[in-house]
Amino acid sequence: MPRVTEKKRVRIDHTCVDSPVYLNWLGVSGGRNYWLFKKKQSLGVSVSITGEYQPYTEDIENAKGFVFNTGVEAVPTITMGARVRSAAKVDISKMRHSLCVQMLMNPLTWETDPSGPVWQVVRPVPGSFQVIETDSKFEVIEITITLPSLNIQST
Amino acid sequence: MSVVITADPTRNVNGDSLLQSRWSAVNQPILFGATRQDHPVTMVQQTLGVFRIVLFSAPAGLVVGQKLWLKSGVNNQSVTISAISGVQISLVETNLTAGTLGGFINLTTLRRNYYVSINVYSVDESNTYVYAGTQDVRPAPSGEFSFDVHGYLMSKAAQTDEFAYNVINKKRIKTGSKYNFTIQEFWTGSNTQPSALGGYGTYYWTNSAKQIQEKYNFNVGAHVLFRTIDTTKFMSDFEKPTYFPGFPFSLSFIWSEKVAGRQLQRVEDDFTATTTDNLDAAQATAVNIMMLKGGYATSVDEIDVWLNDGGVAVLNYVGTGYVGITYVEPLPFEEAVKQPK
Repeated sequence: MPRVTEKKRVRIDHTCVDSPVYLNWLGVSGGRNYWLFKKKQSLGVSVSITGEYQPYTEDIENAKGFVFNTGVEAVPTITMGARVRSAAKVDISKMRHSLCVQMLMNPLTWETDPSGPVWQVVRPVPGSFQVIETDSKFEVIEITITLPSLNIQST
Repeated sequence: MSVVITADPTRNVNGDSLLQSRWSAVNQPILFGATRQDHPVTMVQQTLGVFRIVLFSAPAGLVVGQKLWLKSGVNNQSVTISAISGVQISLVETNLTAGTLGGFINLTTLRRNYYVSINVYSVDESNTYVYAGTQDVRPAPSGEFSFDVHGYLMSKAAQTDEFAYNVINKKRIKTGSKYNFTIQEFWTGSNTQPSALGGYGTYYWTNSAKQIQEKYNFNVGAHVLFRTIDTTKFMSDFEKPTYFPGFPFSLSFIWSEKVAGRQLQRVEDDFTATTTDNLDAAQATAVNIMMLKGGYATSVDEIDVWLNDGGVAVLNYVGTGYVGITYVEPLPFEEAVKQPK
C-alpha cells in the first residue's frame, strides 16, 4: 500500500512519574502537542488586593479592624521542570506562544472516567521558561504556569 | 455571464498542477480575485473608421449614449454607445483595437451602483453548510475586485482540545474543514439570485498560522494528503514527539478531499514488527486527530508512524429504522386475528 505521509519518528518514554503535570497545547500548524513534566518544583498562589476600605472608627472598643478588603484576586501557579533532550527543549518552548495551553486534571483516571480526559486552560508565565542545567545531550528546563484564578467573594 | 473568479488561494504542491492544495490557514488572509463580466463579446470590428462590438445577443435596455466597460483583447476601457443594430453596438471611441478574442462588456450605465455580496458558509459537525457572514464589495470600473473570507471562518475555529481519546481517529471540524461561498449581484432597481453553493468549487481552512518564508504562502499544502506523494507532514510542533504511556497523545493530519473515499491506514513500526490498523474513513475531508496504538513493550524506545492508502474505502451507512429485506417481526396475537384472510 502506498505511503501518503512522512514517516514520523515518535519517542516512547517509559520512565516513572511521581508528580505528573501533563500539558497539551495548540501548535501553529493546528495540531496538538504534548509534554509530561515530572518534577513539580513548587505550588504557589499569587494574591493581590483589588480593593479595600477604611471606615471611620467611632467605637474603638468594639471595632473589628481598621482596614477591610473589598476584593482579592488569587491565581494559583505551578513551577515545574523536566529533563529533556536539547532538540525537544526547542519544541517544548513553543508552548510559550501557544494561544491555548491545557493541563490534564485527571492524569490517573482519565482512561476510566466517563468524562474522559478533563483539561483545564492554563497560561505559561511570560519569561518563566528557563534552562537550569545542560550537558552534551540533555537540559533541565523549568517553566511556571498559572491556573484559573480562584472565585472569591467581593463586596 | 456574471462574476468570474480569476484568482484563488490554491497552490500547487511541489510545483505540480496535479497536486493542487485548496487548504488555507484561517488566521491569515484567504484571498480571492474576481471580475464582473456582465455580457460576453464575440469580437471588436472596425468598419470605415467606426468600431463596433459584436455580441452573441443584445441585452435589453441598451440605448445610445450609455457607457459600457469593454474588455476584449488589449481593449480595457470605458466606451460610449453611438448606435445599436441588433447584436452590433457602434462606439464613439476610435482608439480601440479590432480583434476576435472574445471578452465581455459591463453595463456601467444600465447597472448603476453595482456591487456584489459574497455570502460565506462553513460546515458543522453534520457536514451541513452553515451561514458564516456576508461581505459587500464594489468592483473597480474595470469590473475587478478581490475579497478575503478568513474573518468569517476564524470564529468557527476552536482553540481547546475536545477529543475524547477513545477512538483511533476523529475529524475535528473546528480545527479544519470545508467552506464555500455564493455571489449575488446588486444594482439600482434589480439583483441576481445568489450563485449556486459550490458553483465556484469547494475550499478548505485549517486553524493554522503560516510563518515568514514558509512555502505556499498562506496555503497549508505541506500538510495536505495526496495519493501520490509521501512527504506530507503531520501537524506537530515536534520534530520527534514523545509519547508518555498512560497519557493522552495524538497526531493531527489533514484528511484532504484528495484521499476522501480511500481507506487510510495507520502503520507503526517498532523496528521489530509493523502493525497496520484501518482508520475510520467516515471522518474524511477534515483535519483529523489520530491516536497511537499504545501498549508498547518497555523495550520499545521509538517507533515510526505513517499513513498508507489502503485502497477504496467501504463505508457502511445504516439509517434509522433500517431493517433487512428478510427481516420478519411477528405480530402480537391480537393484531394477527384482525388481519384480513
